[in-house]
Amino acid sequence: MKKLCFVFSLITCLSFSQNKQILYGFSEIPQALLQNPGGKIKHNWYFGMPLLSHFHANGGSSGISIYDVFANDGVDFNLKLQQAVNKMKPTDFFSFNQQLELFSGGFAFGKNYKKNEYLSFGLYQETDFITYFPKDIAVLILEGNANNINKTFRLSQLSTSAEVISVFHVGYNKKVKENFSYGVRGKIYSNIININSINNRGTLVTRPGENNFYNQIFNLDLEVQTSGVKSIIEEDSDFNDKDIVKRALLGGNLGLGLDIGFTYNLTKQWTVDASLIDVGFIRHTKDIQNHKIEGEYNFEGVNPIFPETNTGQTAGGYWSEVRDDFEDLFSVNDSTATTYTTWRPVKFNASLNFAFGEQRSKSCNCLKEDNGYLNAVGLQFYAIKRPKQPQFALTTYYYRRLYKGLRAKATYTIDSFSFNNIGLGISAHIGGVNFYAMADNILEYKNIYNTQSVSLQLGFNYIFNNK
Amino acid sequence: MINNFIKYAFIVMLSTITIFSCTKEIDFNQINDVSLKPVVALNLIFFNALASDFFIDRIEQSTIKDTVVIDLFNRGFIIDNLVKAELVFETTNSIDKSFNIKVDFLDTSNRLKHTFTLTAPASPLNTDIITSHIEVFENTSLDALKVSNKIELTLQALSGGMPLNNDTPGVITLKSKGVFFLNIERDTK
Repeated sequence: MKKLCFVFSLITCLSFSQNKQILYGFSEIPQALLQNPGGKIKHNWYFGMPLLSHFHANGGSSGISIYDVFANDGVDFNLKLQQAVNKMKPTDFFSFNQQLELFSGGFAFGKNYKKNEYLSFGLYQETDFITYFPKDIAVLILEGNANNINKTFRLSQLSTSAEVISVFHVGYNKKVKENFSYGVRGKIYSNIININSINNRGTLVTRPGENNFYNQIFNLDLEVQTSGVKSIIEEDSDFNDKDIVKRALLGGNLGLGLDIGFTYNLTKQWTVDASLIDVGFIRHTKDIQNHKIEGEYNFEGVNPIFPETNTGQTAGGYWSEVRDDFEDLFSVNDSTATTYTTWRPVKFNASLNFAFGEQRSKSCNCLKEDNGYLNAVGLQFYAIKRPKQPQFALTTYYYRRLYKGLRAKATYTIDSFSFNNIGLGISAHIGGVNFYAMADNILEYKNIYNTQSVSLQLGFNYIFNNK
Repeated sequence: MINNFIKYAFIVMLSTITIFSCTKEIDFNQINDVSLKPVVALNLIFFNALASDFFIDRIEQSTIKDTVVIDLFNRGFIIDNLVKAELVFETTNSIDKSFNIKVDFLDTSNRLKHTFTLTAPASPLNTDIITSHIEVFENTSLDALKVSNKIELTLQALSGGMPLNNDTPGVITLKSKGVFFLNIERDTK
């Protein structure tokens, strides 16, 4: 039962943004460099255990939780559904992000004995999905138009984007001075699958009419762009695992990206850092299939008598014209293969940190040479660009070195999902082996369905530590 | 020693969090109870006729008839989900002559399934006289509606008043809409 529970809760984690607030600034973990290429580096070289070095999953629903709708509480399901629709706003969203590092590594180099430059590289796969809640359409389905005369149902609320990509990256980090480091990371994206429908427009409205009760106005301008999907869904598709591998290994639609970041020590104890991640695009030119529904129609009804005097048509003809007009309106235009470009969701991180509690060596009661502080507290800011509007998160944290080989970080985050997100992460170093695990929203785990977001990261590295 | 203890403590804690994470009951089968009840309003038939329109080729037309094929009510989605329909008719007459509007519902074999008649009273002063009629379709009448694919409208000028000619003032209009009460449930068959 517990096993089942475990699997189920893991799936729930999976089935649910991208904020890695616990990992950010956690400089003992090499993957923190992917959050800020200009971060501090505390090792000489490392390699990630292939396929195990970084797993990340994060998902959420900004408006409601699964529990709100599916709780077995005896309340009528339709009532809960109605309440959920009423509660949610068109800016509410469901999102999911997952990353799996296939391999990664890094090493320090430099001219003199104190190597102050560092090169890191790797390949990871990423899935990113977001869909906004089309509230007007939900209301139309639940209530209909009869009691919503004059209400404009906006189709622009339909907004979805999904992508599966692989990312090759090489990063360079330089400690310019004792108190200042910067870094850049170049990325090549290879798109495996993309589904993009973020520029929808149109309205449906029923207004009091002139010739008949209503003026029913249909204005549709909907489009979905896909790449990498056609070859999978077409009838005689011979798509297989090899094709996925091929696409992942630069065989897909390609794009370029850049990460930049820095760390600056204001004083011995105060540090600021910031980074900009995934400033980049993917150009979709292969295996494209786009669909569009476009048209405008004003429906007054059928005018059967005296058609001669009004339009010169027979009634039967008039009806079939109405029907044809509707069919034209809602028909999906022939698919096109027009190339398109998608922008990656740019992320911005910044933090202000204060380290305290000097670590004294037992033998001499003197300060340890490097990174002599046991504790740190700080404030982190995170923002991500999303199709409709950016999302923000603010985190405060407490970091503690527990023992030589164990560091922990606790976070408190305010974001689109909740105001009470507490996260916990540890990084254990046993010899050269590093294991880290972190999860947020841990207070909600007593009822995982009631949580609106979950973020999870874990991984194994081998680190050659000299600092 | 303590070092190891802390290490394990953390690992145990994290796994405990994960293992005991589903305690409250969730029932996804509730999705089977979903029942959507939208009320959809749709324009149906309208016309707008001058009194002189009844005077064609110098002959007064006392009856004008037309049939409209509407393959809407007999569609699968409607048959499965329509629980009630109200067809709302409104006539506005400013002609000094009363009219009957007969609305017949015919099936694919042109058999009469349902009928009703509305009367638009004469307007001696050529003012707008508005008459409304709501035909409610439930149970047997709803079944009749669901096998209909045509509406036949017969507009009949009733005797009395002045004969209609090219100079007769006034207009008769008809507006109509359908208000469809749907109940869409998950098909559990």
